Amino acid sequence: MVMSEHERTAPGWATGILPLKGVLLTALVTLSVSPAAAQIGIKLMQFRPTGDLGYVVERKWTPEFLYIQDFEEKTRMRASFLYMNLQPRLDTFPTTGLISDSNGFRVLPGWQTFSKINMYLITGGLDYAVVELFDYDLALYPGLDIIFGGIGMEYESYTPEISSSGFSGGFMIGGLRLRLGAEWAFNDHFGANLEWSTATYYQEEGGRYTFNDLGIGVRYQF
Amino acid sequence: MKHITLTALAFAVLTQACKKPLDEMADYYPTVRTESVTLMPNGTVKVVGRILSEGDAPVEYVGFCADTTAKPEMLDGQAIAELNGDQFTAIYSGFDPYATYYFRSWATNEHGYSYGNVLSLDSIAAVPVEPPCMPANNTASIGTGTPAQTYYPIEAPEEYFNVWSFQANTNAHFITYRFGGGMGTGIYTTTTNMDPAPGYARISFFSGFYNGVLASGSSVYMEQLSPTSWRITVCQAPWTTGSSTFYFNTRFTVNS
Repeated sequence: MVMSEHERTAPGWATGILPLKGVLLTALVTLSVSPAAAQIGIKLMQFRPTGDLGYVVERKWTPEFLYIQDFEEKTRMRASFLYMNLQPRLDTFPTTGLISDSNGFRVLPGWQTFSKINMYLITGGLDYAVVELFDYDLALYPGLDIIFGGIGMEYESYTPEISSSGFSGGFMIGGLRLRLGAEWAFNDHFGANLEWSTATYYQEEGGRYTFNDLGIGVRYQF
Repeated sequence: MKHITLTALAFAVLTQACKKPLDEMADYYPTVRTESVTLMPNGTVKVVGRILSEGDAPVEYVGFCADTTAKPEMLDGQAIAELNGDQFTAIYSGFDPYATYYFRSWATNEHGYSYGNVLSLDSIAAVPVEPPCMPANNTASIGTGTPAQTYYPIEAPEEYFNVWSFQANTNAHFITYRFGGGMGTGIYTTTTNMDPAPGYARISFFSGFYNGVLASGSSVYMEQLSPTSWRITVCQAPWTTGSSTFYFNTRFTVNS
């Protein structure tokens, strides 16, 4: 008879693309093409997971679609959407479990495999141009975003004598992203920027995870 | 106030997001080495392992696995060990002398587990033992003046939590034998511990007038006659009751 048992697995976040995605994407597109604020951008960024997330998934190059203003004022608004199909760093992650039964106390070798890890993020925030040079063509700025999104995944885990299970589902996430950037305005329409960001987010029914990203982007103002 | 809040927020984000992932996944797990396997005179095998690196988190459990297959897995003959500095040790017993055994260390941390290298050993058998006395076969004497008594059928040894125990009775005594870590050719040392460690034995008895346990430190000579048969000899092993000391002698064969 099992007297006590304990199982531990790799970070347990989960799956599914939430219906919120469509709503927010529509809102982003609407913002971008509205006559009052028709300014869009795209950024090619490298998603660089850190901490527990960095243990589980690989870095990933991905486009980030932006609604982004220029620096007519010191402060500008921005919003973005990005979607990533992330790859686990190992085909099989080793895990351990503990059991104490009539055979004594034992350490059990287990495993966990991920067949799908998808993440989408919708961000909204501000940049503040602390330095503007070359007749306001170059701006150096920090920024802060609020992040909403979802993470979807499918995994299987197994620990002998304790459990064998699979999971397929999704969770909401929310957090903050802090950014440092530099932008060069080529003319009244085009600008290019280089940005580094660091983010932390909380996952529904999960813990706190972190990532950085580094990217180069362009924006166009109609 | 607004700036302070924003600064604190930014600091919180930054400090949480700065733990860079390790380039090599293997660096998350402990690095462990099976250093040696040594045949002891009593037929047990001492296995020594060492933690070379704890990985990305403190080591939680260390141990060994052992089997007759070339690559034992963690649950094969698992022995959990105590980490002493960066070294850990386990004692294995109960081998088939005609088989080759493979030993592999392992270690866990919060990320998972890793194995060390495999070391093998064959012809695992104890140095033959020669008891210094030869009591009459199949008898026991607790030394209180009662003549040596003849055993009548002796229980077969049973294992429970790595202790092999059985009861051997005479007309005058109920004697319990408990051997730690298995039964094989070798010299066991008496202990009063109810759960003797490998290489130790506890011998206790009830004789109607006396309850006794052999004092720690005496020798128990065991010869494995076959995979299911052992001859046990004890010579002048002291035990005390009140201020008196008596001496226990026995020689008998037990079968499973």
